[in-house]
Amino acid sequence: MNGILYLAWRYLAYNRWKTTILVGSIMLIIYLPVGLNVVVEQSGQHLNARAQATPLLVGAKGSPLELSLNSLYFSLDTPELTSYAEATAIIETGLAEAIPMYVRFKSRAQPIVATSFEYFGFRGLALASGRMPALLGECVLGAASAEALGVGVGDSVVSSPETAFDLAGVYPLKMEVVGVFEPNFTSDDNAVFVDIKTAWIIEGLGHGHQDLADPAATSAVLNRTDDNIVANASIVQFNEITEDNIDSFHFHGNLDSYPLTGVIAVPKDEKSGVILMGRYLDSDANKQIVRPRDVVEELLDTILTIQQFIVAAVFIVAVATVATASLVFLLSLRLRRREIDTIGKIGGGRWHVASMLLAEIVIVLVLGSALAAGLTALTWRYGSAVIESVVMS
Amino acid sequence: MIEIQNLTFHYGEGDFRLDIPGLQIAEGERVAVVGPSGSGKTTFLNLIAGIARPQSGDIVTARHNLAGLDDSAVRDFRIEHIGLVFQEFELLEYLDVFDNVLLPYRVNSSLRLDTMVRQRAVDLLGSVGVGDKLKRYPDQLSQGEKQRVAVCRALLVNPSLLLADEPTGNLDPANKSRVLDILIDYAADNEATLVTVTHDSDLLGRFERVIDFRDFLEKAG
Amino acid sequence: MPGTATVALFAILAACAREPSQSEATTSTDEANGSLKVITVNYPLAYFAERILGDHGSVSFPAPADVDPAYWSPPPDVISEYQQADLILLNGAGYAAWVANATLPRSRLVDTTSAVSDQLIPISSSVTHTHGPTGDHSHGGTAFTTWLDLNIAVAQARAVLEAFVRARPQYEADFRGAFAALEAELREVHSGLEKISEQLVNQPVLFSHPVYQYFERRYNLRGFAVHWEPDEVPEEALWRQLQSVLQQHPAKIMIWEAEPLEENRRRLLELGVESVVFAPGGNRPAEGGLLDLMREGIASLRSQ
Repeated sequence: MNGILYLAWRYLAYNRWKTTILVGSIMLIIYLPVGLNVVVEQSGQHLNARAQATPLLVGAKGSPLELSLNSLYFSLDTPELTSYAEATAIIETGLAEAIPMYVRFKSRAQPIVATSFEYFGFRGLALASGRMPALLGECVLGAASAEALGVGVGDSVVSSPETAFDLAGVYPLKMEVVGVFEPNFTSDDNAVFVDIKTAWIIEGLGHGHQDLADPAATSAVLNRTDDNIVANASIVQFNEITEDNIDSFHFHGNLDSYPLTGVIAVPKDEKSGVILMGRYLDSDANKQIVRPRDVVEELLDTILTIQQFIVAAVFIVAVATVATASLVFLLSLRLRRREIDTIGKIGGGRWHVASMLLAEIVIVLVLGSALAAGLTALTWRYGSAVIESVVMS
Repeated sequence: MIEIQNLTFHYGEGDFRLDIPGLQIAEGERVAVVGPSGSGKTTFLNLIAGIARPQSGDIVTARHNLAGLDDSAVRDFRIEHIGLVFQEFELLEYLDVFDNVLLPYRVNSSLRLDTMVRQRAVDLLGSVGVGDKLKRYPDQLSQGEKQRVAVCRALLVNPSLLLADEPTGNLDPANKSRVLDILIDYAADNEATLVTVTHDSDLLGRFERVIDFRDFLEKAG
Repeated sequence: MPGTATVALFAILAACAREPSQSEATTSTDEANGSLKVITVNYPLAYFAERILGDHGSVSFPAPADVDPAYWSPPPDVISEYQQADLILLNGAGYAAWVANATLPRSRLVDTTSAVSDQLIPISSSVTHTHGPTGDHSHGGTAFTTWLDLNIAVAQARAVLEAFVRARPQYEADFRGAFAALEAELREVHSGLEKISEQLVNQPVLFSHPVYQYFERRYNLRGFAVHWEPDEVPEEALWRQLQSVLQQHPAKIMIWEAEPLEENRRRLLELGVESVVFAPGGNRPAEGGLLDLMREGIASLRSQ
């Protein structure tokens, strides 16, 4: 047996290109459906788990999928905006807790997730270092986010402008990192968490500036009367919230009119959830309420259908590949006629020769399968993270 | 050593036919086989080695009546007792020199490949002047070197019968002489029987007997 | 809007989990023994909470004793204390501006003046300013020493009660009983102040600081507020200013937040103004409780 395997291996090693192509083909036709299944399974599990853990989502009328992807997975394709009044309205029903979500901005490639303190308890996020955000302008990072941005407690991150030419509204805000969460293997790991008001400051809806009564602000004052001061655009607005200037930060108007991308509603019990859903479904207003698990279930059905098509296509390719490989093998047998005759002439057993040829096939299959198994293992371990980083970038 | 009685052989429905009423080759005898192309010289070697089966008649090679052995037994017998050398060398392109020589030990379980065999292979290759080329592949050798490697493969099993089919046909004069020396020296040193098909009349003087296959053609014709 | 197929593809690619995280809406309540952790932004709320809560929890008011809680900004580690509490009692009316810039769990905030927001007093003398595209806006606000109107104080205490009942319904009877006792005392103090009001009707008074708006309104006082610290002697310019005020507003008493310096008391007396102390009680007194402070203040006023 050793002699047979040795000769088979030497033949394959000598014809390395042919062997590589055959092994690669076998690997692909095994890995493609299996790897796809792993990714889809993991995706499905993750999507499902996250969706199951989120009872209800409220937002502006539009795509339930967009709303879910933004609020649960922090997709930066923002849905139609709703307002903080929606969160207030939900609280006032007494039926559910309301967790406002504003996922629109990012710090480099990491989404800035603006929310309320309740979010952290809701998602079971535990601190690995530092503390929870306490003041405007502070942020806490998910584990992967901290690694990607290369920062830790005491460092700072800056929000990215929405466009290069967006000079008037969204401007870079420097935020102090006060904590980093333990990994929890969800989208939370990639987030930069801030208080909802910090996001409104990034958007320019709130700001801090020089005290207009301060002599240093004289150059910014255009006109001063007994009860009104008009300042020009040269007034210094702060792009970092510090201990010294935090008291100057303020918002204008009613906070209820300020924007959100969605509100997570956590009903007190099932009955409250049903009543809450009923109120939104009965309403003509430009709002929607969705159950993320229903949205994800529909999405997974679509994914499954796509997967089945892909697997069918791969199966057809596999049949073609096997047929081609068989043809290659038979042709190479013809080319090796003389070698086989020689072995026979010097006394090689028929069984030995047949086994040697069979061993070549087996080795190719084993190598291809092993590589497919290895790739599948890597996919199982890293595939989802790689895919997410590609998507997030 | 080799005894043939009333042998008849033909290939399927073709015209070729070999009839040998009787032939003996003594043990240790060095015999050259000559004759025109198509006279059956190579077939004769194949019959002796059991590669081809006669339609009738007996062949006793090294006291083994090959007609009474099945295919597997014939192959076992051949690999243990007969060394074959071919005109086209017939080395395997994907094995290096060392592995080509060891080939018989890897294709038949009646031979056991051990350290002694490996050392013997090294010694044999050294004795024929290719001891420093063990890791080379056939396409990296000269014609003469290839044939010397093929001869080593044939000699590794210590055969009692050497069958060489035009072993010097593709070699230059210096290598012809060198290869023939190896075969004849082995036969002399080991009391082995050497049967060589050759077209080269210059070499006939190195053999004890010449069998001319024109005799068998005339008798058949 | 991206097509369904694109969004679906994103969803396929958006996986990042191997282990789903468990999540539930959690609070820091100690459900096992029903104990309630309460924290407040000023002493009056802490007082109401202590009176109503009784043994069913703990009340924390972490502002240092020497600061005015209305203007205090707690450091992050103290804000963490607020975050961990079961209930955070806010005064409302813009009291404790730090709350607006802090991250606190909204579900645990109790705005004790939200039910009486129509009674809050805007500060009309604030300056507006204009910059950028949003037009005029003001950084003025609302008077916030709301508990000095004892009717509002009762409303605030009631808001505390209702919050406790919602959080710990099993102790409702205890809470309501304690509230009833507290309300009775608050009404008693209110009656005392109403008598003072009758005593001081149409009499101009001075206030050492503009923190008595609700007190002034509820008890019909005709007041004028200066900005004088009890433990500082005002500059001469301020004395001159006061004299000119007294010409238009001939007050006979100045109501101080705390015991003034003897020199201030003497000089005021020279101007015909008696000093009385009615401590607002924003922070915890060295001795006694909120209602003790108020009763002392009533006694001080009554003696005039």
